[in-house]
Amino acid sequence: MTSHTEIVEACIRQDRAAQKQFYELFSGKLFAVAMRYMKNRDNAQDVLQDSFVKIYKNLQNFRFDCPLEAWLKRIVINTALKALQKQPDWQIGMDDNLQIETTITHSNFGFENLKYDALLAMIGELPEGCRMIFNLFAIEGYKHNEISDMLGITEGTSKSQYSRARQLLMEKLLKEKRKEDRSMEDLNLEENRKDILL
Amino acid sequence: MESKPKKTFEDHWAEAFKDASMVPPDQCWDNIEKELDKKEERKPFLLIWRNKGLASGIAAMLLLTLGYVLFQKNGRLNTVRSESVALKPEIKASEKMNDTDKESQVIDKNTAIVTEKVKTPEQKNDLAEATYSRKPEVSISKISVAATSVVSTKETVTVAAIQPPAWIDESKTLAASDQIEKTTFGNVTTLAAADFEPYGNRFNNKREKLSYEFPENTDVVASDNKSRKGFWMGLNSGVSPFNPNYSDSNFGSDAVSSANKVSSESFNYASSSSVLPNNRPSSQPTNQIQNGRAVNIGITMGKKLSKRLGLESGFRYLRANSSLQTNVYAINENTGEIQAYFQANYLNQRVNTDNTIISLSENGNQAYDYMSIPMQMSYQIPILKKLDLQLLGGLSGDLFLRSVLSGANSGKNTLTASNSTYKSLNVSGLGGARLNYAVGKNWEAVFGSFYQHSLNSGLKSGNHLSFKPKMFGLTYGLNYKF
Repeated sequence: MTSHTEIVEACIRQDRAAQKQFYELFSGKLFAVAMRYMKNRDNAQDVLQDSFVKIYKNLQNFRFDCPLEAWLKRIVINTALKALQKQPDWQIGMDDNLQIETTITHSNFGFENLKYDALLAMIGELPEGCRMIFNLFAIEGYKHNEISDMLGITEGTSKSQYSRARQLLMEKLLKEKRKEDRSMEDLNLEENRKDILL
Repeated sequence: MESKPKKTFEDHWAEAFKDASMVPPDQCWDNIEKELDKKEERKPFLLIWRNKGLASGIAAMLLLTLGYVLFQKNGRLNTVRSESVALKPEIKASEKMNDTDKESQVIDKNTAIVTEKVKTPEQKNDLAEATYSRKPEVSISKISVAATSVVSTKETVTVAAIQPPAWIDESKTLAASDQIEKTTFGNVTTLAAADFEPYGNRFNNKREKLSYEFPENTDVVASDNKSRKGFWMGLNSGVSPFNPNYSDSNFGSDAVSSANKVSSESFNYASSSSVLPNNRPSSQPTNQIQNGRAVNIGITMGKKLSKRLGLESGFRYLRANSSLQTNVYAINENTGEIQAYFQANYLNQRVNTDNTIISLSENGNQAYDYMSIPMQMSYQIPILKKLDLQLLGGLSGDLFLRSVLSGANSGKNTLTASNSTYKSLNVSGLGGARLNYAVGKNWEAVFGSFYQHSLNSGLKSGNHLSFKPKMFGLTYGLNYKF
């Protein structure tokens, strides 16, 4: 089996077959990253395409000093952030005057029975600024000061946007949980009725 | 038994998306392939045209500078005109000339040039009653002032009054039949040529008469032609070695101490990667900046201030480069982004978020783009009939557009005044000598040398590094003299 290093070296030599192999290896994971940042599939596809073009053009600069996947992921995130920042309402999305409400405290967040697609849909429904900062902070693990540097916003804005995102997501999770509990109750009632009838 | 730490809200999300994978659309690879097959488009040669705001600013500055230089002399003429009372289109016909004395003064700048005392004669009733009207379209080709002179105008009415030129106060008009005191001639004949410089050559002392010839088809006294003489415009270029002249004595110690701070655990190396065993310095840090080349092209505009002295300005686009050999790098552990330590620490000032390693040496390149507005005084020394030597000296305002660093390890990074420590505006001293050879009536070929040295460091204060580029090279071009 060909190692990553060999494929990368072949890609640097502009070997098209190796480039395709490289794409097949990483495109799935990178597309999932792009999907988290962009609102729809088309935009995520654009980000993925641009990212791969950048990757192939700059692969010779990669020295294996850090994990390849982290480097690739970083390029996708940067490309997505640039695409979002180009949008005309970008600054409006970064409104600093959002109210921070952290009143919802729930130990059981209701992740247990939720599928990946449902979680992705929840993130997708967040306002742009919230979504971006939630991804960077909660999933990527950046700190608020790093996010403020990356996006050119204040640390306070980053924190308030994150709180807003957290609040919205918790509300969605609770709603999903209630819905699920209700359907479970309905199911139980139905079973009980069947039992009585029998 | 130890209980597992409770997962936070963020942990749940991070875990849910940790190894997430989604199949991208089928056409995605085809689009990437198409993009890879495309050739890179050439960027416009002059970056300035991409920034309309910058171009407008430079154009406005040029207009102001040249406007001041060109119209400095015209301003003097305007003074004459404004100090002379402007002619009204018509003067009331019944106006009687019964004033006892009229004094006419034409003032050029500071001094009174002509003083004419006019006695209104009681015996000349016809003249006293005479009316005159002066219309702007009436042109006078010649005025002769003398005690016995007869003046004729184009008007058919028996008018004895002389219609003065536009620059003479109408209330101080001469009457031909008036007796002009002999002292008037004294004043007139002692006209100082220098005071009438713009039109003094039109005064001729013919026998006992002082005659003034007006330019034909115009009622404006002064001609602008003379003020426009000595103006030149040209297209110039220059080549020279480029010495970026960075100076920093602390580089070695800074780099080593920064590299030592970093713990080897900071890096999570991939198992398949061929990395250094640890990030401790294994060799001495080096950072050698070597001279490159500079090419400039621009438009020059100049104006002669006197026979020998002149003032020259314009704008110039400068593209220069230098090379950097270094073995010290700054790596951002979050992003994997690699930059030369020299760039990260001194130019971007972001070394705090990075980790420093001393690794293999690489050769990088740094390109610089500047837009300059030079302002030089020139002194011209004629050598042959068609050849003269021009010595120049002055200042140049240099606007930093961008700098691009590229290296095999660190990739390509673009620095501007907003994302680096480069100053947007710098001032340089300029000097040089040029040979101008006349080619035809208006054209001249220019060839010479120039020297430019930055007077201030091109980097913002706050680090030890200073950047004072200097250039000494050849210049050549073509001028058009108006």
